[in-house]
Amino acid sequence: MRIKLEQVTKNYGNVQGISNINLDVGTGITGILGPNGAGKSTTMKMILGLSRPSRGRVTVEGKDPFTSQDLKRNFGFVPEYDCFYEHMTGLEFVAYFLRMHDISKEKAEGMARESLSELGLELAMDRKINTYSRGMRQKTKVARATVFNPEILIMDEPFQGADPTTRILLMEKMTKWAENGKTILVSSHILHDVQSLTDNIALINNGKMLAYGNRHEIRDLINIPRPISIVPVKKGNLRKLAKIMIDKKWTKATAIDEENNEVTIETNQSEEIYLELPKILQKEKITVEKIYSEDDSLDSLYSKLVEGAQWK
Amino acid sequence: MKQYGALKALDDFSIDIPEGKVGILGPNGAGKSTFVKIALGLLTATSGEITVLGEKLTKNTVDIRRKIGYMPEHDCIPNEMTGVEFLIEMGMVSGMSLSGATERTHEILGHLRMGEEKYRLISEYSGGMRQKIKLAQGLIHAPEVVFLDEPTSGLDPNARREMLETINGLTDVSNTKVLLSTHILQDVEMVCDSVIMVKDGKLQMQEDVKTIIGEKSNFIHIRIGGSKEDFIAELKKKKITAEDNGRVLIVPYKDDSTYDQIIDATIKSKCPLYEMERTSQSMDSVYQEIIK
Amino acid sequence: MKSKAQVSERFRDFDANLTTRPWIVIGMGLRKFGQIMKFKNYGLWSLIVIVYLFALVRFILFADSENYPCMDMGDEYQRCVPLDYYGDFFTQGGTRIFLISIAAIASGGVIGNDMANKSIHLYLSRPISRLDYLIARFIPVFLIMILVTLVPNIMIFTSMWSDSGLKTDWLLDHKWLIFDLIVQAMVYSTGLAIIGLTFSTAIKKENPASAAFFLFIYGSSTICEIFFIALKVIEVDGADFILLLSVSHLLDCISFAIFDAKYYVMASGFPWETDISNIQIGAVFTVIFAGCSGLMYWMIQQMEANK
Repeated sequence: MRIKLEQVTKNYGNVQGISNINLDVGTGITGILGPNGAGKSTTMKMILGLSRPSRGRVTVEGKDPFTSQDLKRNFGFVPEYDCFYEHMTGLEFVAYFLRMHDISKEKAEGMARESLSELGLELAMDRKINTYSRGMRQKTKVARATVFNPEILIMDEPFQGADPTTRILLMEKMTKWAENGKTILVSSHILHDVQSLTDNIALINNGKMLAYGNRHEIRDLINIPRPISIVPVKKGNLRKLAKIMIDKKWTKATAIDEENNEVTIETNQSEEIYLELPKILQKEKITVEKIYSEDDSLDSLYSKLVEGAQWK
Repeated sequence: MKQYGALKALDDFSIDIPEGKVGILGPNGAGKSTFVKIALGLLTATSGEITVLGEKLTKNTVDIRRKIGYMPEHDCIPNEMTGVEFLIEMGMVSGMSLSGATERTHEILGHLRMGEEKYRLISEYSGGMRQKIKLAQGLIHAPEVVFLDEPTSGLDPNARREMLETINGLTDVSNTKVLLSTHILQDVEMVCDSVIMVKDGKLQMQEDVKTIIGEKSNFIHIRIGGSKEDFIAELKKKKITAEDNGRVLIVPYKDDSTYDQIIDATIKSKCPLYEMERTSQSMDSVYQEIIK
Repeated sequence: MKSKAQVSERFRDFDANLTTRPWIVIGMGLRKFGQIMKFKNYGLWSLIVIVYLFALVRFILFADSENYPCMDMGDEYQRCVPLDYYGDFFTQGGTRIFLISIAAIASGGVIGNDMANKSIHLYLSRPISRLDYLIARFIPVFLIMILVTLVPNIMIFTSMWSDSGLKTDWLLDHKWLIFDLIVQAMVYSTGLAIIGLTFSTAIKKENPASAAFFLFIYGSSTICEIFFIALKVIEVDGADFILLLSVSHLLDCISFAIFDAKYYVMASGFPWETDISNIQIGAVFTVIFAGCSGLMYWMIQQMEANK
C-alpha cells in the first residue's frame, strides 16, 4: 500500500511536532531514523490516523486514515512503550484484542497461538506477561500487531532492549512480510540493524524530513566530496596506486594508510571513478581485494545529514 | 556457581577476565547480571570461588567495591539534585573527601564534555546526559575496573556514538579496565578488545575481538551500477556464478585472481563498480552460531 | 636550563584517597541531615519552631519550679514535666502530635526516595554494606528527633536550675535526672525514627509514607486510648493490654519506667490506672523494633537480588 504525506505539519500547542513533511513510501521496509524527539513518533501517529495534521494531507492508498475505518483494519502498530495488561498471559493478551473485533473465542485463541508461535513464544505464551523479558515483550507486541495479517505494519523502536537473538528473529520475519508485499515502517536507533534490513530510509530531524529514499541515492545527492578507499593485495602496490590516483584530474586529495594497507582518495566525480578505476587497475596490473567508500554506511550518511543539517 | 532457589543462574562458571576492554554478550537471562553482581559482592555465590583484582571475595565483599565502579542498566539517578551535587555525594559515599570529590567530579565531567548544564537539575537532562552522569558516578572514585551494563540502551545514534567514544577515550586516559555488557553487537566491535559469550549460566566463548572479525569468509560482495544482467553474464563466461540477493551480488572467492576477473567483468559490461569486498566474519554470525 | 615538555597524566594517576567505612556512614548521615534541614523545608521548620515555642510557654514561663520534675497527684500517681512533655496535646498538654508530625516529615522520603528513583542501587554498589546504609539513613532522622526531644528538655532543665539560683547542690540532687532525660529522648527518637524509616521503605513515596506513618502512630494511639477508657468504664479485665497496640503508649510505658513512676493514662482530667509488667513492655518493644529493622533490611536485600 502506498503511504503519502504532503506538506504535513502538526503542532501541539506551542510544541512543534513535525513541519512540512513530505513522504512517499510503497511496499517493502522503510527505516525511519532521527534523534530522540525529532518527530518520528508523531509521523507514525499521523499515518495511523491517531491524530490529524494541523496542515497538509496524509493519505494511505488515497484515503484519509483519520476517517477511513476499513483502512484501520489494515494497520498493525507496535508502540515504543509497553502497554500490557501485566496479569494476562501473552496468549490471553493477543486473543483479547481479537475478541474486541467480534472474533469468536476459539478462533481468536487459534489465531493468537499461531501468531505467537511464529515469533518463537510457544513455550512462554501461557505465562503471565509480568514474567517476560524485554525481548519477549517486544515479540508479544509484534504478535499483537501482526495477528490480523495487516497490510501496513508500523513499528516504533521494536528492537529496543531486545537481545540479538530476538532482533535477528524479528528482522527475518520483517523481511519475509515485506517480500509478501506488506508495507513496513520501522524506527530504530541502531543504524546497523536498519542497514541490514533495508536500503530505504526516511530521515527526520527537528521535525523536518531531511531525506527519504534509497540511501545510496541520497548519498549521491549530497554535495560533499566522497572518500573512496582501495586496498591492493600486495602491499608494494600501495604507493604506486597512490601515485597513479594523484595524477588524475578528479582526485581532490589522496591519503595512504600503511597500517590498514589502503589508499583513500577524495572526489566529487565518484561516478566517473567507479567506471574508470577498474580500467586503470587492469592496465597497471594491480590486484585489489577491496574497494569501498566509508560514505556507503548508514552511520556515515546519518551523521552527515543530521550534523550538517543545522544550517541547511 | 549461584543458585536462586531452584533456579541456577550461573552453573560451573569459571572465567579469567582478561585485561583491557571486555564485552559480555548473551541472551536475556543468560546470567550476565548475576555474574556482575557476584563480582561486585552484591550477591554471594552459592558455591565456588571468586577472586577480583587479586582479592578473594569472602571477607572483602564490601571493601572490594573501592576498586570497582558500576554503571547499572536502568535509570537510577535522583532527579532533585544537580549533576555536580549528585556526583560529589557519590564520591563521598565511596569515601572521598569533599575537595577530592569536587575536583574529580569536574575533571570527569570535563572529559565527558558536560558544560554549564552540570549545575542544572538532573530532571532537566536528556537521555544522553543522564547516561553520562551514570557513567561518571561509576568512575568517580578512580576504580580499577568499571562494569557497564547496557550503556547505550535507548540512546539515539549520535548519543550512542558519543557514549562509545567516551568509553574508548576513557581507557586512553586512565588505567581503568572496562567490562561491557550489551545487546548491541556492534558496540562490542567498536569498543572491546575481547569478548565473552554467556548462555544458560555457562561460558560459551572467550575470544579476541580482532581475531573474530578478522576472519575472512569465502564470499565477495559486489555492488555495481548499470546493467546487472550484463555483469552476471560476463561473470558466467568466466565460469563464475553470481547470486543476486536484491542489494548486493555475492560471488564465491577462489583465490586472488577472482578479484581480477571481477574487475575485468565490470569493464566488459561497462558497469561502474561501487563496492567490492571479501566479507569477513561478523560478530552477528559468531553470536548466532554460538548462542543458537 | 631546558624545561621538559610534559603531558599531564593526572587523570590516570588520580589517587582517590578513600577514608574508612565509619566515616563514610557518619558523613552520609550528616549530609542528609543538612539536606532535610534546609530552610525551604517550611513544614518541618515551622513544626520545630512550634515545639520550641510550646516548650517555652508551657514548661518554662508557666512552670512551677518547686514541683520540678515531679509532683504528687493523689497517693499513687505522679505528674512529671518530662513525661508531660511527650504526652498528648489534648489531654496532657504535651507535644506528641508535633513530635509525630516531625518524625513523619523527616523520615518520609529518606529511604523511599532512594528506592523510588532507584539510586539505592548506586549506594549499595559503593563500599558500604546494607547495614551501613541503613545506619546512615537512620542518623539524620534520629538527629532531628533529638533536636525536638532532648534539646527542649535540657532547656527546661536549665531554666529550672536557674530558677533555683544556679546552685551546685540543686544540680547534684538532679544528676540522675539528666541521665533519665537523655535515655528517654533516645528511646523516643530511635523508636519513631525506625518506624518512620520502615514506612518510607515499604511505601517508597515521600508524602504517602509520611501520611501513613502519622496516621499509624497518632491514629492508633487515639483509637487505643478510646477503647481503653471504654473497656475500663465497663470494667473488662485485661483492658490494659490494648495500650500495647499503640506505639506511642508503648514508648510512654518505657518512659514512665525510666522515671520510676507508675504508669497511667490521662483522660478527662484524671489518671486511669494500668497494670502492665515491665517484662511485657520490654518484649513487645523488642518484637516491634526488631521486626521493623528486619523488615527494612529484608526489603532492601530483596530489591537488590531481584534487581
